[in-house]
Amino acid sequence: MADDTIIRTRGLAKHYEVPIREAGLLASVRSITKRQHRTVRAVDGVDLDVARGEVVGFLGPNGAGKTTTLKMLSGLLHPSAGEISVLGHEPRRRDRAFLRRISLVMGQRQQLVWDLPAADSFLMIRSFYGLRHADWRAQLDELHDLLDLEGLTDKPVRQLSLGERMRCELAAGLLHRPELLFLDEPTLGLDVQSQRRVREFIRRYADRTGATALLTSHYMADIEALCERVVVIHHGTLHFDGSLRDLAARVSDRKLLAIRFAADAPILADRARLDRELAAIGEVRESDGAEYVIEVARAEIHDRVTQLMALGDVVDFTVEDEPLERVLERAFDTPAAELS
Amino acid sequence: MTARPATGSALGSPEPFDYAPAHRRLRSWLVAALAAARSEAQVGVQYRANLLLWGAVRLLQAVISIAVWRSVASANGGAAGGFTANEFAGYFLTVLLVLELTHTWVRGRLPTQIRTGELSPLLLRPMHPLLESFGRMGAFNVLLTIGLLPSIVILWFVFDAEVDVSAVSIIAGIVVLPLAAVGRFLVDALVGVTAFWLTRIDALQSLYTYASLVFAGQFAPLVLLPGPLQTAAKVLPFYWTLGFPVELLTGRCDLREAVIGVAMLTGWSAVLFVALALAWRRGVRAYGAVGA
Repeated sequence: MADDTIIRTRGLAKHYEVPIREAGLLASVRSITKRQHRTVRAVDGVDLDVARGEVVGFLGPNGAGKTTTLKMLSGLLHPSAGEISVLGHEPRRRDRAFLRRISLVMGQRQQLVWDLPAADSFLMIRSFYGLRHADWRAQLDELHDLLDLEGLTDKPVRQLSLGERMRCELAAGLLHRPELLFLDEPTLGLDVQSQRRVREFIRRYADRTGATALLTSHYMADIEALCERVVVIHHGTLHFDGSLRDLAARVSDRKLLAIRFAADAPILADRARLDRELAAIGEVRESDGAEYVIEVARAEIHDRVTQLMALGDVVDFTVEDEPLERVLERAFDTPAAELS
Repeated sequence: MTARPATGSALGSPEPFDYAPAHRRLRSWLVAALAAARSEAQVGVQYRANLLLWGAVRLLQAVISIAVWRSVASANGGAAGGFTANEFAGYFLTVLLVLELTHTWVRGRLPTQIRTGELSPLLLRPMHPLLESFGRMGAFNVLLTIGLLPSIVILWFVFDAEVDVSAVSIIAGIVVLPLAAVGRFLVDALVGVTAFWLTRIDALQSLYTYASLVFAGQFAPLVLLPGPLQTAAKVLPFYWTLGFPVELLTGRCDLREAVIGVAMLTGWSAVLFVALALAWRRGVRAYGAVGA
């Protein structure tokens, strides 16, 4: 393992035996003596190296194996096969020395005692981790500022909003100053403002501490804002490992041309002709009065831009990449061999 | 791909805190268990009405047992199985006290934690989830017992309860009670860990409840059970974690019986501890961490 590699997996796999049977009472009775199972390959041979200080985004559709991978890396799940080393430890053993260096944040009900103010849970966590008072106090003060916990920690957790609770959960998960964070959907269910606050906090925390973070999220804004590197997992296997830019370049051969005509442009007066002209240029994705977004092939962009400009009276024009969500849809549909 | 360098501030070091050295692990476990106990005590105080209602349920159970067995004693010319009506009252009020001090809920809570995935964050703390449960229950039991004590004293006078108590039996009982609490917790936890493999263990929990009721001496003093049931009770762990401490506290054990009792309780605790450790290890391996 290279000096700065803190996560290394080879052939990591998690397979489940799931009982199955046909519908109906007869099938139900038959299953008493004749049980059938199907093997579900949640994760199936993942090789991964993560260096200290990286922030890596795990992408994939539901059931792709992202969370299962995080759970194996954190020690919650025992792998069915493969090698795994995290911070020099075998996670499934959950050594105390290992657990003190990591944190897994998932969902909004994890560390905090539901019926007590978060401040009481922070005290309890201090004892669980055996933190020295001065260290705990300094870390808590810092997290208090970064997460803006003013007025949140002295009322019962159950009375906090989802966003407030998530901020308190993050503080609780980071009190022991973990050097490796596993964040499973940290902004799930939060409103846009809370999502942004949590996202900014993770960014600042990672920047300021140099902590390593592995993150899953269905919100592309999280991934774009936080992750220099993304790993695409689909059907339990690793489809892509690299930067978002590389991923977009490999799966997306499309560009979006956003154009706005002058309000009194003659072409706007002849809608039938405009529609014909635009359809010849590319696929119209959006239209709103004098504004249009047209999708074109990346390789043809020069010719298409020339055609658009020839329509006359263009007052604004930009060339954009496809939205990340669309890029990912393409990535999930693209065979692994074509992505790597 | 290059790692980002750490930069300044109080949060600036990626190194973990300087933790207590390993040789102080026992002390750190104790500190952590006490922290869990403190937390549970805070919850208990916050929900004191719920705590009082639990106390009322327990008192009602004791009162019903006393009423039934006093009637039996009266119908038998004043005594049954060597217990007078007043001694039945003393016995069942002591049962109530020991039950409260050794009460456990892990067989109910652990399956829920396993089924819903609430166990996941507990597994990732540097503290065993069962140790945390033990600490929490200790606090709950002490709080509930303190709340119940005035009622127990009142009932003691109302039923004119009698026990053949001595300083030695009280001291022996106090020494045995923590061991009984551990033993009872271990049996309870062993039932709870089956939820790692069985999604629904309601029937097993009911079986445990009724077995405990009969064999522990909770339903009736052991001497009132038919011979084969008494023999079975002396083999199973239930009696040693409840009936034996109660008989010790009420002065119904001689020195030989006390020594045998402590040996059985210790032996059972050791066996249960090993069984629980093995079951826990295999159970966690089977744990699916579903739901969280």
